Amino acid sequence: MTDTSHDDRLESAEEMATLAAPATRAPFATPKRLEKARDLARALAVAQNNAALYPASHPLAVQSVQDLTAAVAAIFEIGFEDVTINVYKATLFIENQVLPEESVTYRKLVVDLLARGISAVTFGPGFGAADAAAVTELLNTPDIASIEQSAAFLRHRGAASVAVAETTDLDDAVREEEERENKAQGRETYDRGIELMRDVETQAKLGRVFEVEPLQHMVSSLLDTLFKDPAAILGLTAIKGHDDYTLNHSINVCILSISLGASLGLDAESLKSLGLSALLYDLGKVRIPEDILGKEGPLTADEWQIVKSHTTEGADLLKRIQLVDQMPMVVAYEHHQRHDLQGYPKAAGPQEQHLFSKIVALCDAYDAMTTRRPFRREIRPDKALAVLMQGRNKAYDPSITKVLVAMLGIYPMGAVVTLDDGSKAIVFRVNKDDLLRPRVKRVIAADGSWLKEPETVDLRLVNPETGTFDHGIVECIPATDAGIDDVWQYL
Amino acid sequence: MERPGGGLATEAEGLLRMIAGAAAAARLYPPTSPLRLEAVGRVVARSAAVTASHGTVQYHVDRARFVVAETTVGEGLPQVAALAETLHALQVGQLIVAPGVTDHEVASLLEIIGGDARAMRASGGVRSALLGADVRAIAVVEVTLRASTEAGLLGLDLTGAPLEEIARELTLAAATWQQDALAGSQSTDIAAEAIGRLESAAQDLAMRRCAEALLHLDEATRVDLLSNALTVDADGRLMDSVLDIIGHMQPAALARLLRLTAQMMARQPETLLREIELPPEIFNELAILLKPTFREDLARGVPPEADAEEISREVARADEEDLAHIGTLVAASTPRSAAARGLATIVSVARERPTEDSIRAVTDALGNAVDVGAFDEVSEAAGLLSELSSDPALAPAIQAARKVLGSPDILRECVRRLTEDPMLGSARTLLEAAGAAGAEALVSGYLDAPADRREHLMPVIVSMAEPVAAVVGRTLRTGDPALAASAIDMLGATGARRLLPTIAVALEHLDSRVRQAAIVALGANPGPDSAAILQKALGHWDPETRRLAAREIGRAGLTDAVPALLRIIAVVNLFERNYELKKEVLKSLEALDSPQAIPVLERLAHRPVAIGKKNRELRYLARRILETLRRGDRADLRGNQQ
Repeated sequence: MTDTSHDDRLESAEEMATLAAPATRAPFATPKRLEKARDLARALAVAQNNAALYPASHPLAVQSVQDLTAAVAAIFEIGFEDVTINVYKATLFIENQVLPEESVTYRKLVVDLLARGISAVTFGPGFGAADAAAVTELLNTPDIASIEQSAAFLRHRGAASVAVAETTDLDDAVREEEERENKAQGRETYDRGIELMRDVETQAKLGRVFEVEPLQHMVSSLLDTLFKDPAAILGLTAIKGHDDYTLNHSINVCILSISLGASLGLDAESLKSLGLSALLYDLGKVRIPEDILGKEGPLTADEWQIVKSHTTEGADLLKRIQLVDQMPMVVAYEHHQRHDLQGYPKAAGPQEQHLFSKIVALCDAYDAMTTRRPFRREIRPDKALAVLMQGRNKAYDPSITKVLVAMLGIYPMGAVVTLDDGSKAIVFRVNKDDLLRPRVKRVIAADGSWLKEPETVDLRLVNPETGTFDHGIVECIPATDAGIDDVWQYL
Repeated sequence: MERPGGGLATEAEGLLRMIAGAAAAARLYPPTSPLRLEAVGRVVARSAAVTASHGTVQYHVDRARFVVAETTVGEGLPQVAALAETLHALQVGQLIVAPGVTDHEVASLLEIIGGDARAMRASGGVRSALLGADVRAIAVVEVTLRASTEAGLLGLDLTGAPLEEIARELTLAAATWQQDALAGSQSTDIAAEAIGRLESAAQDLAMRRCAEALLHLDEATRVDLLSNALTVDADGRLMDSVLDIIGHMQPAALARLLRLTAQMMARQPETLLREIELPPEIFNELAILLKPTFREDLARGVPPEADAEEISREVARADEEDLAHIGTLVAASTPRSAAARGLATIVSVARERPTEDSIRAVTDALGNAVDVGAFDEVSEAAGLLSELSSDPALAPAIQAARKVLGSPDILRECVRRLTEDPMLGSARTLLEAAGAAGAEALVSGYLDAPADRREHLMPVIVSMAEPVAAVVGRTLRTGDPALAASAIDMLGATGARRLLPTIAVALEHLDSRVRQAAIVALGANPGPDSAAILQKALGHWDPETRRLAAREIGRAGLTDAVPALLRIIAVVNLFERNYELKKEVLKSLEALDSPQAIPVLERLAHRPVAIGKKNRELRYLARRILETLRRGDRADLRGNQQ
């Protein structure tokens, strides 16, 4: 029976986890997995080649068909229900994993796929030798020139476990429209969050109890969008409010934390608690005099003691909401204790920081470093990540730091980079399979003139003639040094 | 769904609807009609709100709709479409609404656009009519890209002309300024003139478009343009219009332009910044942006360069160990850990700030922590309460917290955990802290526990001997005999001398099972105290208790009790039927193997007359034991007995 009361908002942990998993993890993240992806591309290319050279009964042709079947099975064994080989702008991908070398080595495969109108080949459950033989035959049959003919050929050969498709402009348009919607929805939540946090801050300053429920709703909204479109949410952290630093910072830390938490595999309930904790972890600062917090020069020992007390002050404030959720209080208290427990407040025992505290500490440091303040400039995102990596095992948990970097990319969304042709671009999407080669929007030409319309470039794409990447990043530069104020609008 | 263009488009459309509504009212009602005046008022109010949020609003007029920031607005709204058609007929290409619109200005606009289109065009057009009516905050741009037939910048409509064209003309204007200035003549600020000719509502818009146009120049030309504008003319003036225009650039873009220009002119960017008139907040932001960063970064421990490839390799090296570590952390971030951490945190806070409020928070956190078995943290909290108990101001709060700690559920759980893990010191601490209630839970938990787990509770029972004794004493007085007997068994199993008085009390219990348990418990705890009690029990009113006491004395090897045993067999009373007791005494004497017994045994063994079978049996037993004692073959004797 259809559930007519279905709400658009995702609530159940299962739904969220299902949606989160593919969105937050790179399917071929480990070298072993990547090797399996490469094996599949190689097997398909070799099978195509052998089928062209030898009759179907020839031992080499038979062997290559078996190898292709085995390569697909090997990918299923690591948890895939199906696997797709994509061709995008003459570059081979397995799922979202770019294969730069294979794009050149197996040029014939790429050309033959495109010649048949195929930009995606999906190997499904039950893929066997007959399916493999049908695909290789398809790639060697010269008079097929469209996707419809290709699909009909496979149907005629009874290949039920392999499907071909083409990516149409229409798909791109629909996807872009969805992305726009998600971006707008994310922004709306972000702005509402700023107002809510402003209210919380005011209430806390006045010593009044604030309402937690609206904050929880806000975190839930962020999570909904995160699971639909992680980039739409992560991109919001590129918003750096210089006037309302504290408010923007708390929302940014919340977004980074829930994204990192999702990457770590936390369930929906935990993510909600983590999000709330990340919003409120620095609330204790409302009890620290503003002239000390905003002091430009070095702090005196007494002032430093006062600043350090914000963790206990925060926990003291947040104990009021412990019946709703205790974690905000815990994170407020622990977020400066550091991974090596050499921070403050002094840990009562050898027990390490709670996972949430570790996450929030990392995200706090990253966002703080990459945000300009009245008394100091922002640090470039890649340098900020380098600082975090340097702090592994000391201030930060080493494993979680790596996951954060893998999530953000070496050049995170919103980072401004100079490309090898001298133009300047904004990182638009991180490619999980190649952290050094994101998708960027070129906004400033090499001569310094601004382009009328930003141009999207995937830095993973390979020049089929030379076998090298079309473009590369020369350096990351602060957005403001490039003359760009609001990078969010380009994401 | 939010459409592209965001809030501006939505709000701009709202304002358009007001204007269109007012235009309709102006057509329907005379100028003095309240309805018309109300409509005008609504336009003024809405325009004030919209311009306060978004600054000057620029509508591009299409045939039946408007475009704001590249977003279509008003499409499908009949009144707005009618307004668009009206303006289109009047050859109005743009409608500009700036902050500060007045009733008079709105009324004038409505009057002008409500007239005959042909006549209006013939009389000079809407723009001149508005200027004539002294309308400043509302402007229109008529449908022509050229503002006049003049050449260069003066001939351009700065609010609508292509940005590239504006940029080119601005560059030329600045170059001309510099040439004139270098030639020592008075320069003409053509850009100032072009902007000055616009009505005030359009001037800000024109400046913004000029600023945007500059970005379409290549950087070298942009820098040249600014440096040209900074050339001082014969009158000591700079080309202020260009400085005003760049003041409308986004701060980051402006900072970069200033930095590059300063570099080219061998000046400090800050000195250039001072040449430009800027609002203080923008000036401050620019001052920060123009600060050098390299030294500052180094001082903050930021590397001069990030080795991206190395970081990428490091991240790719995430291995099984990392995954296992993360898995452990994730598994530990459960509700249990939250409750435990919550209590630990609040205890730490309360230690630093021992207020009533903090103690109340501890009380709140205790329940969850116990539910999830966070005994270490609960124990820590109990410790804190003890530390603070001397503060009278906190007494009520501490009492309330202790009430929670002493709740039967918590204590029962403590006992249950102890039966599983006898080393769980925190649970033990809690039971001890709870005193009588803890002992109650302990005794009850002991009795309910499986036999093989009971010994786990022994250490805590011993450490809580006094309250436990009190609980057992109450059980003896009022409880079920079977329970009382088990409780006495428990006391006996502890081996604690402090509990002997309670066991002794059990000897007076009416139920034989309890008395029997007490005798066994005494026997299990040999020592002078238990020996004394057992000797006393030899004179118990209940023969069976006496017999059991005699047996336990022998079994426990209480040689101090030999005289008392001998007294029993020494007395010969024909009317006393205590054969079973005497038999037990004889067995115990045999077990005790004491030479003290020989004289009495000899008398019994050599009694010439023994009436009755039982007396003869006793005599026979005495003879046999005597013989054994004499033989000194104690080991064999014990072996046979066993």
